[in-house]
Parts: sequence; C-alpha cells; structure tokens
Amino acid sequence: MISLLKNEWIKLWTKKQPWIFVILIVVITVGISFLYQALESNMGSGNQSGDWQVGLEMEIESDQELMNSSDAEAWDRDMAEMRVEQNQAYLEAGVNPNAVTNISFLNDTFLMAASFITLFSVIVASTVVSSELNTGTIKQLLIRPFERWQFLLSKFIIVVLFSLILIVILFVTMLLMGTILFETASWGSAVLEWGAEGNFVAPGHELIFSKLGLYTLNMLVFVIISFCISTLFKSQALAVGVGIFTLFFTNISQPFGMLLENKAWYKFIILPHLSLPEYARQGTLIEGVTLPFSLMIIAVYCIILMTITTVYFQKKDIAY
Amino acid sequence: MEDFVLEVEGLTKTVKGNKKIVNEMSFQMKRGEILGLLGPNGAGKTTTIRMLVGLIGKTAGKVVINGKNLDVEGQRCKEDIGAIVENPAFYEHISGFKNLQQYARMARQNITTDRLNEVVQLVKLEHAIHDKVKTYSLGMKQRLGVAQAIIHKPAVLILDEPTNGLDPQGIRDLRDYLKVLAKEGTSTLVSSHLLSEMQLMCDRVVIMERGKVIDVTEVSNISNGSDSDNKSVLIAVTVAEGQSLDLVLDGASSNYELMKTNGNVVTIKLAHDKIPELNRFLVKKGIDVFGIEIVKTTLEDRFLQVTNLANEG
Ligand SMILES: Nc1ncnc2c1ncn2[C@@H]1O[C@H](COP(=O)(O)OP(=O)(O)OP(=O)(O)O)[C@@H](O)[C@H]1O
Ligand SMILES: [Mg+2]
Repeated sequence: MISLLKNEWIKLWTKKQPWIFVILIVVITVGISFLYQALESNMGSGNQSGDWQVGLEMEIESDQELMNSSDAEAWDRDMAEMRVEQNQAYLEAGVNPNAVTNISFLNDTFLMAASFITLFSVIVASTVVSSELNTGTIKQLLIRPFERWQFLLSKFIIVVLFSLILIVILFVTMLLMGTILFETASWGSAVLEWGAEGNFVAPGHELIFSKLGLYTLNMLVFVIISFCISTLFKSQALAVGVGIFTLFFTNISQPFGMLLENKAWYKFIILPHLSLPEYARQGTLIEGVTLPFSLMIIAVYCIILMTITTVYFQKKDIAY
Repeated sequence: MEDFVLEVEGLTKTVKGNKKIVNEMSFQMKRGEILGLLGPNGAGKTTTIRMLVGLIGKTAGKVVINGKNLDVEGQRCKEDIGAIVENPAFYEHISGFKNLQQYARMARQNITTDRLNEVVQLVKLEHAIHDKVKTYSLGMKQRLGVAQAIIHKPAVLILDEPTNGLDPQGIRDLRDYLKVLAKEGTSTLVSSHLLSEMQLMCDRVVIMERGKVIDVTEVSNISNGSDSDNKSVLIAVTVAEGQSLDLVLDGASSNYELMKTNGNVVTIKLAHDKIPELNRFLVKKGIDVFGIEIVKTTLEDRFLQVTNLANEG
C-alpha cells in the first residue's frame, strides 16, 4: 500500500498540471491581496487616523437623535437603534470596524481565494482514475497483486493530500501578503464579520480557523463527488462538469433555498449543505438546520457514493 | 502427476445477449514450457487472457496458477504472473525507466536497480530507456511491455500478441529470451494469429476458434509431418507424366487416402508404417515412381485443416 501511495505521488508531480495549479494559487492570492488593498484605501480614507472612536461616538449620537425624533419612520428608527448597538459593541471591544490588519484581511478573503482550490481539486480528482481508464494504463496496475480498492484508495489519498497542500500554500501566502501590506495584529484580535443575522465581532483566530476547518470539509465533499463520478462514468469531462455545476449551484442556491426552505425534503438533499463555511458566521443554514445535521447528511451521501464506486470498481470488467 | 504451472478448466465468458465468446476452454501448461495460443482474429484469445489475469470476471470455470486457485487466492496468483494484455499502455510523459520503476514498486519482492538494468538489456532498450515513452516506436513499446512483465521473475508469463509491431530481429530476440526465461523456470503462454511465428517459438500450441479449443498439438510433431492423434503422415509421390493414381488407388485399400493430385505429384495420407507397403503396391501395379517424400506439414496447414474441420462440424 505504501508503494502504491509512492507511485501515485510520483505520477501526480510528473505532470505539469499540479505545478500550474500551485503557481496559480500563489498568483491568485497575491492578486487578491493587492485588489483588497486598493479597495480598502479607496473606501476607508476618512477613517484611518487614531480618532476612530470619536467618529463612532459621533455616529452614535446622530443615530440617537434620529431614534428620538418624531418625524422619522418607525423603520428608520429601528435601523438607527441597530447601528447604535453595533457601534457600541465596537467601542466596547475596542475594534475599529474600518481598520485593516493581516488578520481581518485573512478573515475577509480566505474563502474567496479558496474557491479556486475547490476548482483545482475537482479537476485533479476527476483526472486521477479516468485518465488511467482512458489510456489503458489501468490494466497494468490491476494485474499486480493488490486489491482494486487499494488502487482507488491510494489515488484518493493522494488527491486529498494535494488539496491540503494547496490549502496550506494559500494560507501561508495570504498571511505573508497580509503582513506585508497591512497592519500586523495578534491572532486573537477582534475582527468584524458580516453574518446573515447582522454584523458581529469575534476573535480573529476563532473565525479564521472555523472557516478553514469547515472549508476543508466542504472541499473534501467536492473531491469525493468528482472522484466517484469520474470512476463510475469513466469520464473526466462529466466529473469536472458535475463538480463545477455543484460548486456553482451552491453559490446561487440562496434564492432556491428561500423558495424550497419549507419543503420537508429540501433539507435531506445534499446541495443546501454544501455551504459549510457559512456556519462560521451563522448558526443555521436553513431554518432548523444546524452544523451536526448538515455533517450527518453529507456523511450519508458520501458513504453511499463511495460504497457504490468501490463495489462497482471491484467487479468491473476492464476491457481495453 | 505432471507438473502443470497453469491449469484451465471449462473457462467460459458469456457477454450480453447470452453470447459465449469463450466457451468451455480447457488446457494445461507444463512448467518451463512455451505454450502458444493460436486462433484467428476474434477467436477469444485476448478474452481468455483477460480472465487469466483477473481483468475481467469469468462466467464459469476454474483456473489454477502455480497450484493456487485464482478464485481463492487471487492476489497470490497475481504475484506469480507477468503479463502483456493487448497493446501495453504506459505513462507517456515519463521515461521508460521511470515506468519500469513504477511496476517494480508494485512487486512483492524488492527489485534492485541492477535487476532493472538487466531486464532493459535483455529487451535491448538501453539506448532509449531514459527517453520519454511518447517518443517510442510501437516495437519499442512492445519491448518495454515485455520488460514490465518479466521484471519480477514471474513463474507464469502471459504475452498477448507480443510480436505485434516487432521487426524480424525483434521477433528473433523475443524468441531467444523466452527460451532463456524458460531455462530459468518461467513458463510462457503466448498468443498470436501468426502461425509461422508460433511454430518457431512454441513447444506446444493450443488452437482455438470461436471461443473453443479445437486442437492441442506438439510443434515438434507438426514439423515431422506426423499427426499427433494417429501418427499418419502426408507423402508426395512423383509419378511418370500422364499416369494417374486415381483409378489405381480407388478402392485399393482403406489404408491410403488420396488427398490431391497436382500434375504428376500426388499427395497421399497414410500411416507412417504403411509407406513401404504402398511402394510395393505401386510397383505391382506397374506405376513408374520417381520419388516418395514425406511432406512437412506446417502449422499453417494444420491450422487450416483443423479450423476447416471445426467449421464443417
Ligand atoms: N465486452 C464484449 N462484449 C461483446 N463481445 C465481446 C466483448 N469483448 C469481446 N467480444 C467479442 O469476443 C470475440 C473475441 O474477442 P477477443 O478480443 O478475445 O479476440 P482475439 O482472439 O484476441 O482476437 P485478435 O486476434 O483480433 O486479437 C470477438 O468476436 C469480440 O467481438
Ligand atoms: Mg487479441
């Protein structure tokens, strides 16, 4: 089994594709960093000095006036009240909502950059079995003294390892760029997060590492889906297609979610759960659906898919 | 009991439409033997080989490799097999040597670089082994295929059409190293539809057609002109111009069978020990005989003969 892993590892890196993906990840991260810097310096120009607290206090004051004034709509008054609460929270936590540090940068952009990793992982996962099925090299593997599932498993492990390496590269590059371009803050420094239930402030490392963990799980699901589909249908194109479609769908699924949310079956299909990183900033994805439930649904789907694939591959007639 | 390294019994493959593309194949391979699997295109040679190496499942039958049942000890069986199935496929973007290293790592025993070099030398690929496989010719890939198959010194070597794409020198080399391997204890099953090659390469030949074994012959018998079953031979009798044996032989004896008349050369089939008797008979009948010669049947004649029989039957 170790020898199979070694073989797969060597085969992976003798191709050009993974190197291109590694380089792209670095390039994309650097690009995003500069873009972020440009946007921030445009927006936050007025609020950069040390008197941000004064600014916030002024905002609170004017909002309070609005709340007490009788000609304002009820709606306006509610908004003002919310803003006051929030600004008071910033003051209490000592967080400048407009200050950019390496930690807030990481928290803001990590998921965006990481979506490229999902894309690249889907491509690699779709190729790893189907390419050997298409060129016929698979037959020289399957006549060697190993069980077929061992070949599948070794390929799968290498793909996952590759994705993890991309994540590490992305993370390190981001941290480096953030530290170079923005202020340096401690891991625990409070950052501002936009949640579905309003903005809130939380320690940076809590947000960042829960995003990192949830993202990794989420990506793993995409890897499993494309790996299995490419093996079952012998088609790399189909697997990449399904992977990208799923990825795309989960990004635009919010409106569907609103429409279908109250259908009982909606929470039992896998699609709405494939936005796991959302749990970093909100407790539920759709009403009543929490992280443990999502993980359970995903696990059930993945186990079924992987079992079907393994059983099918064990028995399949390889005729080339 | 004889020492068989491969025993196949009732091997059958049924595909969609209840079609039997391999139908109750049975044959044995002796240790140290080079056994040919001969049959026309579509006979089922590749299908048989795929079942032997476990690439496709068998519908029925039993396969014993080196004393181990393929169904019971699949992995142990594979340890003892090296194979090329149809055209060998390689990782084109890496060198031949790196390809061999991949296969070496999958062997149960440790394979040294020395062993790799030895195999490369045996198949005469030294000059190109560090080039990428995509630059190889068909024949070079075939050689690399053989190298890949013998790297772990398997007890049973299975080669599907290994001469495909090889030049005459390459075929000769293959023949030579199969003999070397046979001496080292490797038994080889080699499939082909090229009869002349099989004749030179193999000790015995299993002839198959439409999924069935129709004959198993010793190659040495074929080149002696004798039939493995009844020891009958074909002889060519040259007679004087204008004389005909048709009438003379007609009903003379059931021992002689007139096969064909070609000018003044008549081909007769009879038992080997009946040749002197036929000679005396012709003399008595006043036939002028210029020569009697045993015809060396080639495998090709044999092949056409048995496949015709199978077609008629
Ligand atoms: N999966 C399959 N489904 C249906 N028929 C098949 C299948 N695989 C092979 N056959 C048929 O079985 C027959 C035997 O094929 P096989 O490849 O074993 O022949 P072969 O003896 O190796 O021929 P060749 O000399 O051309 O290599 C052919 O007629 C082929 O069409
Ligand atoms: Mg064939």
